[in-house]
Amino acid sequence: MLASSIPQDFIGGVIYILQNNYKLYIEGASFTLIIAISGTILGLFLALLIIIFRIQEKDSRDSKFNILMKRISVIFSSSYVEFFRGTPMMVQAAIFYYGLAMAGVRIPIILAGVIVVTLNTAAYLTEVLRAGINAIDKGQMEAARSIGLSRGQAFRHVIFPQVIKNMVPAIGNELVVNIKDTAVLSVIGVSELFYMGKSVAGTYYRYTESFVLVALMYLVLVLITTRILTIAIQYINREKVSLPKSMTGGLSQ
Amino acid sequence: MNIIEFRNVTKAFDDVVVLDSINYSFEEGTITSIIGPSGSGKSTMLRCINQLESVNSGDIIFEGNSVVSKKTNINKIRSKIGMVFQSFNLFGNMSVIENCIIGQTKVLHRSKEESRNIALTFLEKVGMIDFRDRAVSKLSGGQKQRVAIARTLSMNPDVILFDEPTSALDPEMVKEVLEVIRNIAQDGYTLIVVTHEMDFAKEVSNNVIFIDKGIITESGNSVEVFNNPQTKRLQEFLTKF
Repeated sequence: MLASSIPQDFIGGVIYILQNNYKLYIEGASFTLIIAISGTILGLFLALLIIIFRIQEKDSRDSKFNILMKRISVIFSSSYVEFFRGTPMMVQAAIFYYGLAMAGVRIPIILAGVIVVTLNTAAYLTEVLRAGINAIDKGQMEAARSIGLSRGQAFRHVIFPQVIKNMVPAIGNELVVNIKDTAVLSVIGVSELFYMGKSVAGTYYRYTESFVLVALMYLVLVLITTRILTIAIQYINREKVSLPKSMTGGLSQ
Repeated sequence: MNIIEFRNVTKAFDDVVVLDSINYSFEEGTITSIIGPSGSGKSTMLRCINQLESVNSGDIIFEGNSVVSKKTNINKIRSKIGMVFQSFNLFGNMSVIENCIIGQTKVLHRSKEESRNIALTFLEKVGMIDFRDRAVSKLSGGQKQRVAIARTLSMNPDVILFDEPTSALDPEMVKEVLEVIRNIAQDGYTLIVVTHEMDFAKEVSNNVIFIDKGIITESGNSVEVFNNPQTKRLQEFLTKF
């Protein structure tokens, strides 16, 4: 029996569990990364869509119908954000997964995980975007409108590029949060890192050892991600200096 | 011929009336300075022309069309009315030349090549051609304002509005920007300039409007207005310069 040949001391137990189960941990860590990364990226795109609804403002030139539509857009998008920020992701996952099951819809469990993380991330990043937009000098919008750009064009060509550049650190932060928070997806049986740790622990009845290993792996994932993000941000900021050349190079083609 | 006409325009921010029944016509090809104390409504009058501010009542006619009417395509009108701001407002995510190109390609639908050539012409005119590939954040205030003027000229506007174009500049840089505006003034554009530079207003403009508390207190030929102010309020105002 497996459980009987495992050393009784803590260190020995940790080493034994790692030697015999590293494949499971790596598999779990891969799922964690896949869900966190794809959820963050998809969440960013969804946030870019939701923010369009969120930033609709009444204009003196609008018809009554336009004003009504804008009002609905804002209510819809802010309700979305409030719901996903105001409820735990674990509960959202449970409602989503069991809700689908009840409706007779079966989807791969990892996909369910990605969707839940995406919906959640979108809510947070929508707020980050909104703060970013508010932080841009209003003269940028006025100058864009004064040369005849529509409000949409002004956002696309002038405001968003500046906001997104400023929000890269916040997106990175969200990725790190997601790497850790995917652990709650174990509630619906997604075989990510925490779930794998739990099943290994159950095999040997050695919970502390297994979860210490899990914690170390999360730590390694987060440290590596943070390091990569730091380098990426430095790269973006360095690019700022040489940006004009490369950009006009593109334009003159 | 009148290019812009204010017809009984009133504008209020909440309860504060900033423009009170303004009637005034700007003639094509002339240079008009709007002067007056801070908070008198000068900038608001300018911003109503391209509808950065909406009006509460009255109408503003630009080249025969109401800019106030909801039926008007305001983006098309704005592309013909250039504006230069006190705080430059160059697009921070673009280089100098891209600032001068974006409106041409997106609003006037010119080709990139054509837009680039036009942009270069005007960057040359304002003396900024050597900076064409710079990030705008790397420019001095005077340079930024010259680029902003080139951006406006690149759209080939019929009118250019200047909203205190030198107020945010160091004294040294004021000169270089005024020099560029003087230069443009000789090219037959219709210019409307809100300014605190009285010497400039006197020397360059054909007409002067003096606004006080939202009312045009005095207006007319700039030499006459400056040399022979009729109202006590304007006499007082001019002694401060």
